[in-house]
Amino acid sequence: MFLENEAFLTALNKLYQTSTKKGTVWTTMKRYVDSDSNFQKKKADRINPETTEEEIKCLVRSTNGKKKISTIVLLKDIPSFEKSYKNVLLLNLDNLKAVPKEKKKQINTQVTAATKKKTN
Amino acid sequence: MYINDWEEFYDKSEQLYRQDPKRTRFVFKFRHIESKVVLKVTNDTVNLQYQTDKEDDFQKIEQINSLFFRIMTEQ
Repeated sequence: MFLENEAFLTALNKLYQTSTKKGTVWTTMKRYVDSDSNFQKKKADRINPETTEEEIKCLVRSTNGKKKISTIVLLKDIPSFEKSYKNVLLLNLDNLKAVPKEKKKQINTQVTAATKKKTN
Repeated sequence: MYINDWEEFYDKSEQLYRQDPKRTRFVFKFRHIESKVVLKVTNDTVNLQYQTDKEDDFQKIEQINSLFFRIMTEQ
């Protein structure tokens, strides 16, 4: 399903929320390239070569394996999109943070124990 | 192929993209139950992957996101 930038981020947020108990979310990013098979466009390019200079766009797609969403971000919208996208990730990767925190602490205590031994 | 060293993964990703900007894509995979993150950069020939589940690595995800937003929009 193709969406506007704002709607995409909202849908992505929802996608993450529905995939908390099971499932995986994939997000793919790439430069948007107009398909070579677009005959009309090729024709237009031949007639007027100046139009070949494409505006740079970025294609972002997300899926949980069932539902697919996508959006195209224009160059001028990149900074704001990047910011909002980061917020969506922050919000949804929050649970990921809690688990490794203990791991990190364990490592730290191990390290401090090791250094203590050394100093002793 | 998984790359364990972050710097290496980051540099190679950028190189790979620059070699073939039209074909290279960046995939961010997140599995909530396992709280596992896999970052993948591929052009269908070369495949670079990095995985993590650590809190500190959110910064890295951010880093690679902004890298791709930047290099994808370069002229």
